Amino acid sequence: MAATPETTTKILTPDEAALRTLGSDYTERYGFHDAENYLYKAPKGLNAEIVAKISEFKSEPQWMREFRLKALDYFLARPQPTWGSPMLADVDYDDIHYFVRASERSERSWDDVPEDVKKTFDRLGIPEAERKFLAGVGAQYESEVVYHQVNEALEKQGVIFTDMDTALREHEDLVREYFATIIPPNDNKLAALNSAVWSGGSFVYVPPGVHVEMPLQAYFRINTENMGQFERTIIIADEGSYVHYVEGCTAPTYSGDSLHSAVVELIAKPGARIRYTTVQNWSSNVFNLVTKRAVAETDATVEWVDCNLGSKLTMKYPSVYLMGERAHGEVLSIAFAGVGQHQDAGAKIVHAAPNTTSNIFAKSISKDGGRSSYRGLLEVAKGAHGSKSKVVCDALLLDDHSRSDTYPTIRIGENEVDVGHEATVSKVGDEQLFYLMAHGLSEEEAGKLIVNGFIEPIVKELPMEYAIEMNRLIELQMEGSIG
Amino acid sequence: MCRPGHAAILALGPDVGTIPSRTIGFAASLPEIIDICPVTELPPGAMRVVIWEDLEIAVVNCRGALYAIEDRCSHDDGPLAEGELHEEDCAIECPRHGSLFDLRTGAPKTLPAYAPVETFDVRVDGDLIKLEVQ
Repeated sequence: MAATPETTTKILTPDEAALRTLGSDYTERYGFHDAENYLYKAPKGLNAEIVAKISEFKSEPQWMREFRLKALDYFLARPQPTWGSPMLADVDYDDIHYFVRASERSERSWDDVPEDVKKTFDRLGIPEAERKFLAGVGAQYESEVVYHQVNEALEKQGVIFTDMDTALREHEDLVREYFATIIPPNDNKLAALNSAVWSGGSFVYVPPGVHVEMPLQAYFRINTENMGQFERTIIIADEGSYVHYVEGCTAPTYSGDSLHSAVVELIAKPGARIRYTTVQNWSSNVFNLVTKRAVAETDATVEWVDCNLGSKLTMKYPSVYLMGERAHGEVLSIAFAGVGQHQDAGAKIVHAAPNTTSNIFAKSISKDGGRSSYRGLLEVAKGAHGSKSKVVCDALLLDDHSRSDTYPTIRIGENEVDVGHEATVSKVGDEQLFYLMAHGLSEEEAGKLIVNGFIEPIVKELPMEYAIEMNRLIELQMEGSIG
Repeated sequence: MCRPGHAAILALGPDVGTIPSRTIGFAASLPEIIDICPVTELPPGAMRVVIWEDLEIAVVNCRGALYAIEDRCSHDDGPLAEGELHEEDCAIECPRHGSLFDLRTGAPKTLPAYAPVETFDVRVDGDLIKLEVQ
């Protein structure tokens, strides 16, 4: 039966009008998709032939081809994990395209990027961001990086920032020295899958003493339905150097599921500092199953700033192994689970050396029946005396049918340590809303203010441009969630 | 079940048996020498597991050199001898999560294991492979 259009209208305030448009704009801003003018699109499913073909397409050395095929065996031999989320059982590995090539090679000029792809990234604001505040940009479209550029001055100082395929061709020895040393192919089923079919991702090397003051950014875009994106990233910060790497990700909204399964390895040499920021905003049909791990040597610092807003299911636990004395690790995590979403995020820190320090601050928000989980491990090895760690996980529930779980594990093998763990779960209370509304805010504004205040300690760690984007994304998620 | 003073030899091949160990010295903390097998029974690429008291030890022939390493991954106690031997760099891969251990030093070459495992002296005496434990 056709519905009769409503004829009565409510006069909206400018704020309310703006919020109305925000509600539908994932599709408009990120959820669009391009026509598929691909050079190659592998059929669905995975076998040795497809793996060998990926290697052949990329003209890889024999050792990498063998590495991939062995990883495929590991992937096939391992059962699907049964912990984490029941949604994991819905991943259909046979219904995925494992390799899609959109462009001949990675370009260094936007003008040379294929027109459709260029339009997509223009629409996402990537070239503009590069001009304004980035030291380098990588843009991955489907399986491969289509554009890569790094500030000339940094290049002169010996900074390498390129896509992983190019790095394997041009810096093979360096890649081979570090590749899969932090996350071996048989670490887990998804790491094995990535090792077999990896494509794209970034390779960063920062020479001793070099400080990369502006962030390097990579942007990952899935365009095709039932696509698998498996980028592989390695960042090596040599002695006393500093680098901040930022990644963002979006995809169109489809009814068929896509899979994103990255492997990210970070190596902070003595005295170096790496900050790795993620603003994950995949569409709600993407499984986001990622392995991220870092090593911090003596006096080094590794920080993961991890913001998970999108995806159907995210399972991601960035970890830091503090291998040298006085190393420091930090994980700041925000997870926002809306309708139909499960954000199973967390952190792992291993204190393997004396006088090491770490912080984990995790904040999660669940609304409209969404589920967020904090899953973490803090381990202090025998001999890591003088270590200090603080774990704080806070959950905010916006309604009665959403869910939050906390699974913290702490293993202490040493006596002389200082470890603290705090966890809170709270619900936006009527009193809080009433108090703010009594000061002239609408119910919606009051709700947004409470949520923004809740995540503010982490958002303030983001570069300003990302903090603004993050607040905007949270607003978008919050629309209509109170009252 | 292994009795004190005895070592069980678990070959990762056809022959499995238990042979008595030979005790040298008087105190328990002194080194003990265990006969493993004739040299011909452990060709390059072969491994066998020795159970000595509460320790399991993998004796490995890597490209003609003999090594003995605790048969336990320091990450989550996985049995290293059930993993793959990487002959090119004399390392053994844990079958559970892929950590690679250097047979010479017992140090992990890849995460997720980060602590070394024990190694033992192994030598050839006549035509017998012998292991020194303590």
